[in-house]
Amino acid sequence: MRLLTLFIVLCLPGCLLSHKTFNEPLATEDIEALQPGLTTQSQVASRFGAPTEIVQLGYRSAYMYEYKVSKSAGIFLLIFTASNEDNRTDRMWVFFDEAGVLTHVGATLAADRAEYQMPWMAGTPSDS
Amino acid sequence: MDGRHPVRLLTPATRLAATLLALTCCGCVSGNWVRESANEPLSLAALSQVEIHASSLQDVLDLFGAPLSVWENDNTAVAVAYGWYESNAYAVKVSYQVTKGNSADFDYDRSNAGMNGVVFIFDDTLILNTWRAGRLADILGESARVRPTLPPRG
Repeated sequence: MRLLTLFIVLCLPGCLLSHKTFNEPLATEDIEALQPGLTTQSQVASRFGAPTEIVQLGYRSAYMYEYKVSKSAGIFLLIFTASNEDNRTDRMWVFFDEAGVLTHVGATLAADRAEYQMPWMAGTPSDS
Repeated sequence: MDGRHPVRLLTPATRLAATLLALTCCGCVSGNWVRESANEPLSLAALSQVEIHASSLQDVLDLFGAPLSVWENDNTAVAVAYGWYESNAYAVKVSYQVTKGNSADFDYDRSNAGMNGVVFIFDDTLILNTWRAGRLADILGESARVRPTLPPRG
């Protein structure tokens, strides 16, 4: 019991939980509203705002929108440190033709799957 | 096994010595276990559905979602890359003073860091031309590497 108390007293000051985000989450309904062949670049920009990245693909172009979540957990003992950082992302790429009309959409919504875990708890990421 | 708890076998003096040793060593001996992961690997079942000269860009986007990166390929229209990362690194560090004002470090590291991924390359009509799986740095480095050429004779 005394050993357990000593262990808890030594461990508690060295715990870490961190939650970081980058940009705004992507809404499913906004993505579903995109219509290849109809939606234009300006409509995408007004719905989602400024893209994280713009790529020129010859006469085509593509915008990338991204929302990142990073969750970290760690423990700092006297001579031992263990920590885990899980990074997940909501990401969407939209492709436009030379007239600026949407041709392709690809989206991954995985930001909510970021988890607080210790290294020994974390297994291989799930095969999605 | 006689069922006795190993901690009870230690005398109070041994336990005190072990605690003092841990407290005094924390400045010069450290162990680290750091795990980091990003994104999720592509499904092998989904990869088996991809067909060269048949699957389109939209087929790949529907199967795997948004890629990590998109760029214009040299001779074709579009290349897209999916990537995921998982590192599990252990390190033990011992540091001690060798002479006044100098110290020495000994590190033991083992890590399997690196981003794995799949690169899909499409032709002008956005039909899949080829795809490669492996370490993204190797795949992308290989495609960017200039082939060595012999100097002209004479």
